[in-house]
Amino acid sequence: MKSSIYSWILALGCIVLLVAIIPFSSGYIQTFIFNTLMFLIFAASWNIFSGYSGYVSLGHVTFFGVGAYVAAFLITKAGLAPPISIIIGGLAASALAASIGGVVLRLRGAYFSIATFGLNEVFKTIAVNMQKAEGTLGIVVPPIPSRALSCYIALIIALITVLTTFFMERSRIGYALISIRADEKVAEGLGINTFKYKLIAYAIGSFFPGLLGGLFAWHAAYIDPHSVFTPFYSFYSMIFSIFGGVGTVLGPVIGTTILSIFQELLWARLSYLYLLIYGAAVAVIILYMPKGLLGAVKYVSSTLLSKKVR
Amino acid sequence: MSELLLKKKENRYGITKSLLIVVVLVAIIVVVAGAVAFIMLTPQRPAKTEIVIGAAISLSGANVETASHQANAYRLFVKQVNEQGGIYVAEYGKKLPVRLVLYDDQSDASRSVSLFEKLITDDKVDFIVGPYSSTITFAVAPIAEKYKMVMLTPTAGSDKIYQQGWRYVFELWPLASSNPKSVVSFMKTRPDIKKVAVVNVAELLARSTAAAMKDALQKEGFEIVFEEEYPKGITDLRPMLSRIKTLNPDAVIAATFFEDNVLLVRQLREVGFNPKFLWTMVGFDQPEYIEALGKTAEGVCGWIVWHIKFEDLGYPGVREFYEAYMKEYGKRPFAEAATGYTALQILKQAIEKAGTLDNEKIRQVLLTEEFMTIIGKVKYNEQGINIYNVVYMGQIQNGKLEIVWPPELATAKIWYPKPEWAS
Amino acid sequence: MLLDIIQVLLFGLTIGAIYALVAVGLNLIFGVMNVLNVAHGDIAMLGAYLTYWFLVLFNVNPLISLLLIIAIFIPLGAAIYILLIRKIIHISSSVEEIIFSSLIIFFGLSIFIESSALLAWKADFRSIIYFEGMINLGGILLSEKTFIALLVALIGVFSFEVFLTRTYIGKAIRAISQNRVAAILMGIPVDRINTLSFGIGISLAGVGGVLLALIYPIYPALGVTWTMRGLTVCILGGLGSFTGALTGAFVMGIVESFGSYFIGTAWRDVISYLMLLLVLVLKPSGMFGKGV
Repeated sequence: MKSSIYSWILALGCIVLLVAIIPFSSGYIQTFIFNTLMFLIFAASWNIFSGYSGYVSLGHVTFFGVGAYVAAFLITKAGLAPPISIIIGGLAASALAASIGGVVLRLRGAYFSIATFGLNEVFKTIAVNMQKAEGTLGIVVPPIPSRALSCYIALIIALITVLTTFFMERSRIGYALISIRADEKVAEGLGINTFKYKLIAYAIGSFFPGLLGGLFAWHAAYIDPHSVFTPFYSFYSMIFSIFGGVGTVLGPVIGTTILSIFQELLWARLSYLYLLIYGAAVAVIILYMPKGLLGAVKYVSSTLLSKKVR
Repeated sequence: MSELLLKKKENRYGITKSLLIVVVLVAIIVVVAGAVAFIMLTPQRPAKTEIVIGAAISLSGANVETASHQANAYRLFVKQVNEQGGIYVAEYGKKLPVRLVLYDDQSDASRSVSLFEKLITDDKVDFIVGPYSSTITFAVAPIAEKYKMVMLTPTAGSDKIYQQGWRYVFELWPLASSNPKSVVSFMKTRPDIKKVAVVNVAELLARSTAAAMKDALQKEGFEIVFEEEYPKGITDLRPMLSRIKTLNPDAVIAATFFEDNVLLVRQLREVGFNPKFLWTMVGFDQPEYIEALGKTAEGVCGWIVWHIKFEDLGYPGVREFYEAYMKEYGKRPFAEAATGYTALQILKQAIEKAGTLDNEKIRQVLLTEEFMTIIGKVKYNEQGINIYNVVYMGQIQNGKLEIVWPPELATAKIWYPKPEWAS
Repeated sequence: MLLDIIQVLLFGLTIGAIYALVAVGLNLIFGVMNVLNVAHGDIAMLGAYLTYWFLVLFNVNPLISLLLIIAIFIPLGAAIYILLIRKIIHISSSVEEIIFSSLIIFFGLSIFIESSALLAWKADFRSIIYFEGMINLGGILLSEKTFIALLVALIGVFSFEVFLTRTYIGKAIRAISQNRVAAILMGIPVDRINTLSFGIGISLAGVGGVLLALIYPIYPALGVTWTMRGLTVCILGGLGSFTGALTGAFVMGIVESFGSYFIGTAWRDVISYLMLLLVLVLKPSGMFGKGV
């Protein structure tokens, strides 16, 4: 596809631009970039499993929370260096996904969705009750030396997530997921071990929010159950991904960027009014673009701009 | 791969080609233009023609019921100070007006942290003042430390905060550990109180308070027959309250926040249990509390950190604050508003005494001077704790909030045992 | 002790009754149209606020508000269907697309409703003071409002059951849930039934909201909480099954009630999810669900 080369060049350009402006931007812009990258990682990693397989996970934030808590504990109680703690946090999240997946991936459709949501609530409650004895709530973590560093690390994680999506899409896992999404029974009938591929994708998709959780703990210098296990991250992962075009590599990227900018332009000034517009806009736009933005762009480029006769 | 996702159908979106192109182009232009314009707009550097005080506070979300009053108090103080031309700063030889910058942290601790960082590094405020609640203050304190900005904390009573060795945090709200004093001293005067139930909501201050209560009660020989923590946002406390009813304690101590306070009292009535003594926490002294509960609130006791009666103690400006707040916001102020107001009162006095806007010098002043405010005398020790910290006990009688303990300060005699639930 | 147990059981039943109202509506919409209305709880929230305002502004008895709300919400639901959902169902080329798109649309709607409520009414908690008396049933104390809520919910659910089994439309609804293609072949006007079902589902949520306002302090964010609760109940009982939604609701209410009574309130929310997970492990399509 020729258009994809242009999109990769554009993507590369954006990355270079980002790397260049981060250290010179004001603290506000840096925070904005970090938040956008955060949502990007959420959306793109959600997309890895849910976008391609059609299994809508509503508990994506669970892995973020687990990664955050594991990393926070390692940094504060075991004195491990933050980068290592973050990576272990990510691995812990993945391991959790692999073990829970055994149970949860046997469910289908809405059953799967609600089960994943329930899991998040379970972990949130565990986090709340964990510190009852010491009488505190939440963990204070020595902060990251500079916000620019948070941005760079987030950028790296985001890049890895998107690249992983790219390679996964073209691998056997990707083919398996797409066929599952089309019709799981048929896929099974064709001899695909659906469970195995679902599990692998689920575990991979959970690694990145886990990493992000650890980074977040380092960046925000404080985590508590309600901020790292909040279902809003799960919902927004989903919304940004679908908005941009689920089941594609760049869909979540585009969706997150646009909606994030949209959000930022409005929230400070309009507060609730912005949310109102936001909700209405999202709903209406999907009404006209069910395949998300990327789908609409492809429709435009392939049918409107091409000279082929159908 | 993308072929699978795009199946061409005739005009499947129901819109014409040209419309779609126009829409997409307009969208791209709007987004890009907006982003560029936005990034170009850097916030104005405040020239030294004003003092900028910033805070992130819960203007929405779970905490708004109480936090909005703290914010109101900040605004009221700034309005009043500006009506007088501002705060006199010797370094500039004149009065500088105050500009207040408030952001909504949506009751989320992490958001509050980033907002405070933004206030300090981006908006470049001269001073910051505390957010709402111990939980959020605990998260935000390291930022104050990192940037060496003094932070007075109007609503952070959890002892844990002041045990971290932080140097820039100054407490205004009575510590959780000072809560038991008035309550337990009262309970000791009633020999028929032997069994006690202690419950709390899963919030930092509530946890600390419940722990402090349990400790104090046990030391005085009371029997704790029941203790439990319930999650924030719970909607049904009746099973727990049923269990309490079965155990029939003489007193129930509930370290609550606003919503669960209302819920607990209502459902305690529903379950049919009327303890001889019921003590609650956050929300108790707010006018909205009595509005929400109506007659059910009669006889409920709780903490009093500030009350209009303080004018009798000779604290300056108590009645003026009360009336100004009433006039401005239409509701009577209560503790969280009072401590919010006091924080800025102290900051102003410190600035005047230090003669400068330098945070380090202000910090020195805070550590050495004694201040007189609407909540009384304030003097800080090395850990930033106000050594004159005190909490009283109140009770709702005939729809009014009365101080009932200690007797010397009481505005009314306590109704003991608690009267039957009114219907 | 026994009396207390009975009282706890009654609490469970009351909560279960409200769950039932919310879940049955949600289940109806899913059964007929195969879309998950994630704005369902927000509709209930609207019903709750309407009840509040009717009482505070016009002194309307909540039970009368209930009837008003049913009258308002049926056309409201129909409007939502026609404006937002119908198009997606007709345009989408695959089931997953309907799932993804409808999820977003409903999320957008949910955000829209919640922020409108926040803008209009602020986040303050509001409570209704009505039916404040206590009833004594042989030693068991029950508040009037709880009793009325239970009664209303049971009547509501029972009437709905009768509707489903005895009326033409009800049967049409069941037919579509069972096999859409066959229903179309049988000449059932699917689109009209869809519209009506959505309206009914929404009004059930509205009624649930009325009861919520009676018993709990209300605030805009409770929409999301109740949506998730409603969904959990539906999943527990088995999506698409009316009996399932009903049973699931009461089971969840009772388990939550007894769970907090015996194990402790800290784990209350988690108990229902743990129970759900357990059920799903044993039966992946829920208690009464047909295989997916």
